[in-house]
Amino acid sequence: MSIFLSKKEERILNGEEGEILQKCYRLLVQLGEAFGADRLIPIKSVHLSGISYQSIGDSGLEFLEEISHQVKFKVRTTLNPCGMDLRQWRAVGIDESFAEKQFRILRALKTMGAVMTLTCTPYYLAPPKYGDHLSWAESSAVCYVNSVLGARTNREGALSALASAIAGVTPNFGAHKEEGRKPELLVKVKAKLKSVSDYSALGFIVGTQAGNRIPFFKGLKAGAEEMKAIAASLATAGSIPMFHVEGLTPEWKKQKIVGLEKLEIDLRDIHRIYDEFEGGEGEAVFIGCPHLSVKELHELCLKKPKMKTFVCAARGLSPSLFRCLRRSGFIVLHDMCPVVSPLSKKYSKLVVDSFKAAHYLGERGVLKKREELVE
Amino acid sequence: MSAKIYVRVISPGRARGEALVSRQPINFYSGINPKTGVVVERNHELEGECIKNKILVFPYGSGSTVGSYVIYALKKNAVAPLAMVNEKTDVVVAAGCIFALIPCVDGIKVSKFRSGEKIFVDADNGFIVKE
Repeated sequence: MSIFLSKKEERILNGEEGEILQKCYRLLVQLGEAFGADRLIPIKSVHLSGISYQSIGDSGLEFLEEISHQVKFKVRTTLNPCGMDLRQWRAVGIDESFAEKQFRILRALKTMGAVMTLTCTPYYLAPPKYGDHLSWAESSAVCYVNSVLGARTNREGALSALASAIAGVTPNFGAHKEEGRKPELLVKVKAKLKSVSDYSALGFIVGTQAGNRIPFFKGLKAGAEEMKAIAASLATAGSIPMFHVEGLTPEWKKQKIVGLEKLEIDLRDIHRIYDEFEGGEGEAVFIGCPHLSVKELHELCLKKPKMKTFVCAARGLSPSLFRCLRRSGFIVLHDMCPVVSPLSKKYSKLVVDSFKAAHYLGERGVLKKREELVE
Repeated sequence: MSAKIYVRVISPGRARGEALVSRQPINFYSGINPKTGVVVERNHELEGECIKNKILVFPYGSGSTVGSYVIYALKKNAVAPLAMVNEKTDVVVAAGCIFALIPCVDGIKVSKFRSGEKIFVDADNGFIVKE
């Protein structure tokens, strides 16, 4: 197994363009060799995960600060949510010491040239095009852009995406190639799904059973928001870079489904997973895992919260809708995700409408359908 | 000493130690405490076990892509496994191991191992030996 490298890439690998670039190339080349890549390919953008101080801790912070003055990102590099809203962190009770370390992480990333999107749905701000090669971390965004937009990215780790941001390339394997996008499991959906939370449930069930196999859904009606919900829980429960939906996703026609192992999901399966995540009553509500779209914000604007309700979406997505939500009594937060924030620890029970959020909140998470959370 | 079992190299290096085997995937971000190396995921078959200085055997990593940072933090905090052995390593675990200089190999069924067995992982030459 060996990966083809240009003369320039070999020079970089030999350390002629600095130690950090060398390390990044070493990581990407080793990954490429392990996974059978033929070469490194240029990428259009990078999306980084591991932005919250709560997630990466002091070792991550120190590492980012150390490299920040020595290299710049070569391609557009967006960021996942961090641990707090950059403007309202005091108001929601984030303490000074956390904020100080969070700001240090963000300063280091900004110094390297990051676009400070701080959202898990960067595709709402600048959607990748069909066929674009990317190096994205954030498993839900990976699964969404591969499946729904037809862009091409592996489910990068936070560190391999960082290496790609610095190097501008990624090893060509997996979801970058046609054979890495083929379905390996046929999923027949025999349940009529209504709530966006039902789609989240479906993704969680299939993700658990599919493991690391790409599913092909039959009999599924879903809009973009519902597919986002599937993407998020599928990638949480499993190690899955994408899915296909008959009649809906851009690459479904290319796929062969004859002879694939079959999985049937009916309404009982959906009810069962809700029961598993049932956790009684909560102290506050969080809607926005993944961050909401303009359409979802709009729908929510027509409702009122029943209790203290946090809503998360990318800053700048729609200031007028954010104002509308605040007038209705919602607490709108940007730049962050409660799951990676000390905010969620202030509540012994937080009600969510997403199986991804419920999974990461663990015993503090209570799952309910979105429709039950508002009136 | 038994025969060499040939495996694919993900991250080079060598390690000798006691196996800790999980038939379930591991989500490093939500499942492992990076300060202690203890598995904290609810209802995980390794819940409560410490992965420090073990040869960690599991099918593949699942969930969050921040798992790579957790693997790096485990190493920095001196509670990392000595090596990882997978059925099919995913990119998140691979990048974490390569970066943290933890040997990692894949291409072998988890069911071939039992927790407590002594294993030698040679990820420079691509084989495992049960000792």
